[in-house]
Amino acid sequence: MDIKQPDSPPGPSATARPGGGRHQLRFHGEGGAMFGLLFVNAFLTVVTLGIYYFWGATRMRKFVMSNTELDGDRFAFHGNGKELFLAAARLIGIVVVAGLCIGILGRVFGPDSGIFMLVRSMSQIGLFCLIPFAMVGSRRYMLNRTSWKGIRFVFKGTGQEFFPIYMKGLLLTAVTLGIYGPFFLNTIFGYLINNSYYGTRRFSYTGRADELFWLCLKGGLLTMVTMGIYGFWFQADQRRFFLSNTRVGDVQFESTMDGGGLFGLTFVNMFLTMVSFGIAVPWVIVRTLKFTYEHTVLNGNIDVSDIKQEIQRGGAMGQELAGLLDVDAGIGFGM
Amino acid sequence: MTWQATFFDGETAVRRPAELTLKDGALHIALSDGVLLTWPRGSYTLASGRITSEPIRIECELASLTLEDRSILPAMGVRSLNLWRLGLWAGGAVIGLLVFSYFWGIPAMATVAAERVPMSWENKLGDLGLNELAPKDKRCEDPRAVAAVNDLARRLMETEPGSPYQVDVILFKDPMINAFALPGGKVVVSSGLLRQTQRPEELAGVLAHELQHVNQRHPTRGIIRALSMSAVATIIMGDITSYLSTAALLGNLHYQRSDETSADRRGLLMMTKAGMDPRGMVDLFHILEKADLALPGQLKYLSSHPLTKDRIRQIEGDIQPGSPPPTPLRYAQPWDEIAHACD
Repeated sequence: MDIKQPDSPPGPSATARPGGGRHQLRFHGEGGAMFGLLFVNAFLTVVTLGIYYFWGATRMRKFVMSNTELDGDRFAFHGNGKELFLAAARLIGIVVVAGLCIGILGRVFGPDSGIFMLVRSMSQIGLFCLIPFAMVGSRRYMLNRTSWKGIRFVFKGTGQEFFPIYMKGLLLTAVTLGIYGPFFLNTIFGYLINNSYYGTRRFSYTGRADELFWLCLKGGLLTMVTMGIYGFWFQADQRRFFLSNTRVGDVQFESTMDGGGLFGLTFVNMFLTMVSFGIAVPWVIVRTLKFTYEHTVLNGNIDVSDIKQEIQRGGAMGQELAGLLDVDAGIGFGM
Repeated sequence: MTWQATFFDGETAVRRPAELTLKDGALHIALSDGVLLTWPRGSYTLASGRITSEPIRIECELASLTLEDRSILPAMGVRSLNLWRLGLWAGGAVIGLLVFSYFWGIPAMATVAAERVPMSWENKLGDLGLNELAPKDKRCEDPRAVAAVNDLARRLMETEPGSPYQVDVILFKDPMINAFALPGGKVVVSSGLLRQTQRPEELAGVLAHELQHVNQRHPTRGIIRALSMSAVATIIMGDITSYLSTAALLGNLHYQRSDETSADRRGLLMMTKAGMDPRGMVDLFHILEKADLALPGQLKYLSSHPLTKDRIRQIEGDIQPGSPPPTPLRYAQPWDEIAHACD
């Protein structure tokens, strides 16, 4: 694999060291506040004809992060709406100009001409090639605008590095009719985690692709046999696999989520949303966050004494590109 | 007054207890290890905590202070916002705004916008819709019927010489009883509707109504209205990928009740001016009423043009009482033959 290996691979010791312990993320936000935030965002978005959307999304991220606590300290989100808006405006500008150019080409040479067809399919392929860049850009944006104990997270992966990895994996997955899929997933996850840092401290991922393959094979088959019901257990298994193979320093992640819990959460969420005609959505979001945090355990000694700040530059373009292409590279922390 | 806080220097992750005092806008920070810091007025910002459900965090470049005690906010000259209460206000405002734009704002905007849509756009849109909703291979080309319906339409349109539209009536082979107008002057009448008529004046009633939709630009207005509403919905749902096809849009076109009333009244006037018996419109409605009882669900026309008692009563009221019925319209073939020409 083309994944960078950690400088000093930590031994996968599942047991916590003495002096360490179990730590958990805690969410302090309430459904009422979330309700207020969603409605204020909706109102301002409507009266500004959509422009406030970027400030609203940032406001929501700040709310979630500042209400997330670990080891007695809250996280913080440092992004702002203006950078998202400018990135989106630039991106929309590019799309509009490109669209106009292709349109003019179609007018001049006719919609059935070879050159128009060629340029149009090239532009579609080009858009597709942007996906790995969007994944990397989005993760970089989310990580380096998030801090805990005054120290920012960092993502050192680059699009140039990730592009061949992504394309190779995609190609192999297509050629093997999906059999390579779990290997591809493991590679992507490894790349995203191994290039993530908390200040100067690196995250590391040691998941083995063959283990993930058997997990996916079993999960996929059982999900089909049970008409999708096993999907909850499959999802919980994958999460357990990814987290239990993720470390940062002396801290080993663990997922205590099981399929039954996830099924119950989803069922109750759907029920609440239905009977309330959607009014319960803010409370559903909060209970989902709380459930996720409750089942995320950090084992070991959280020792931050030797961590140094490392400030990374980088715009919001990747984040907006990811939004445009509907790509989600996750928030980070190996979740 | 002093406040207890936690200090992070932004270089390391070490938390240090601190005691804060505010003097003339400057923040004095006494760290537990004896270090004293001063953040002058303007050098620090309140990064979080303005809303009551977030912890207070004050930042000065990379360094930050977090504290629980909200009493520092008034001292900094900041008013807290309660998100719950704010949300209720915003929720009310959103609902108010939606109701306002649905019933007033969007229709008014659509009326103004429809008048500015170039004729060539309307024609294009109409052709697009026509090919989707009444494809060429399902059209009735019987020359007797096509000539008769287009003659009726021409006579009606002559009463409004200012109209810029070239009207074209298309007969569509469909057992459903249906008729609709598309932007740009295309009117579609189903063979199912045609066969229900017993004399030309009855079909003229339907045509007059639809031609009024055309002349008053109701289809274009309806499309603009539907597009604006889906745009508003998109903004609220935050989904830019939602997609609406022209056919779906035209197929589900709803006019406002005021549009229907206006099409009835001015359509009736059209018939009178063209020297046709306006009772044809009412008679057709009675026939449709009976057909609906016999074949419920077959009358697509009624789902977009509900036959309320009010509507019939209003049309009957508009017909001049006592005026002698004009001479009935005649065609080369008996009407019965034309009405069944497309079966």
